[in-house]
Amino acid sequence: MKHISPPTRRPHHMRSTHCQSGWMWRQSWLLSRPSWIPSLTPSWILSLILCTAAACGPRHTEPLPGDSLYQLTTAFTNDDGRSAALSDLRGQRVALAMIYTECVYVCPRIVADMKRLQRALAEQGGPDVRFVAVSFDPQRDTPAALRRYRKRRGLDQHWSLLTAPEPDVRELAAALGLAYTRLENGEFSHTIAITILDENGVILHRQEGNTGDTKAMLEYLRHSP
Amino acid sequence: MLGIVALLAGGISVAPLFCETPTAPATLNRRSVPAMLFRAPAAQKATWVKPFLLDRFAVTNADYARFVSMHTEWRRGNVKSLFVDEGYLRHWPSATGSAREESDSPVTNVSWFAARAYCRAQSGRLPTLLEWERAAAEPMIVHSHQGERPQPQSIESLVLAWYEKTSPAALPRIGSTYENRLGLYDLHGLIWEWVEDFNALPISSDSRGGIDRALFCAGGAAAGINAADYAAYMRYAFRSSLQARFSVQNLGFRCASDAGGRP
Repeated sequence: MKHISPPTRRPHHMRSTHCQSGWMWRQSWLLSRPSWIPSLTPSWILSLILCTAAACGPRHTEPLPGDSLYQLTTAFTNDDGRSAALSDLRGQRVALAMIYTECVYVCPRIVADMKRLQRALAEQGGPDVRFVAVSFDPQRDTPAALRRYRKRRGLDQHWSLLTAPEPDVRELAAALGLAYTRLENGEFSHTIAITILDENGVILHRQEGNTGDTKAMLEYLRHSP
Repeated sequence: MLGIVALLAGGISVAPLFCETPTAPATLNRRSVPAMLFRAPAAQKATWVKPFLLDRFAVTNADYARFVSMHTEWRRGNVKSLFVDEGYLRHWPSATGSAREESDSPVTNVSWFAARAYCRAQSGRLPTLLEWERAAAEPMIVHSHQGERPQPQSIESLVLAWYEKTSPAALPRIGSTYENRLGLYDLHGLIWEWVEDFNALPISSDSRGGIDRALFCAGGAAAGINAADYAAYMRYAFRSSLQARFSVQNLGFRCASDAGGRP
């Protein structure tokens, strides 16, 4: 019989600083755990008590603002093959871009700009920010392809790589104000942009083009709520 | 045994609900558009367009009012600002419906998100740009009325005449312009229509500057439209100026579905 090891850590890309969402994740795992792991139960109860005592995560129970991008209910798939919703990103600022892994022209530069943002924030002890890349190309950008891309580009646990079926990709692009079209050779012609979202998924800023200028984006990411 | 009886009783009482298919009338009003090798105005070569179904008429104010009554999250005042702008259904005197004389006019002042939600509720989707252009390229059928000689008119002249007119305060009713060879009405000359991939063409809204290559990946691939096809140029330029949440007084939509009925 295959040894089933319980997941003791949240997948790196879905980890957040809010213990309420951590508690919910643990609970769903707990409901499905094999019965021979009673030893983890005490720590689960402890974290539940601590969480409710500290009243952490009340922000997530407030309704989303009317213009929040997180009202899109698309079930994306991340590079772990797990289901992810945009609303999972709630609670920190987000830099989001749409790319595709086979893109050799400017998508690598978009990712480089985002990594530059990440480095600058880390150096300045900046806030915890999530970096999200959503693929235009669900046909070729399977979870496995996204996983390979993560390794190739050296994207750490602050990055989420997401894919979804075509109509949902079209919807996200439309909500972000991005244009794209699939060309006959499989390449995509698309707007080059990085969008900054606030803690509730409201669009704060869109940086178009590939100028490499990260100053404005840093300002929006650093500004505390 | 009692359980089985209860189940059957429950099943019988639920059956009438399943018999009601509010989507049935809408899907019955869709016409088949056969497959075709078609060159869209902006394309460099012809593409194979698979067969699909397309609504004979644009969605009317009455149709949309029914949708809003069943999906109150799309009521003016309820709907989230991510999905619509301030002009959403501005021509309706109330949040529940249009003026009676506009019931059979195409619904306009609806966003792309709203149009998609409506089509999904009718077991459909928006047509793609290619599908819409392919259907709209079909020639007009000319009907001869009693005692009158049929008046042939090219679609291009119909469209150019429409561009020249100022938008009327109340749009004409569906079916008031022309029928084409596929039995589809008013694809030109009544309203602009949303398509699923309206944001497929990365053309800068300022045509004087051409395509801003810094803004687009593989930017050189977007082809130009034949300058002589002014009507097509206007359509493409109009689409590229749109954002998904926009309302426009003469922009509406109709629904499509894959051949076989599935969206």
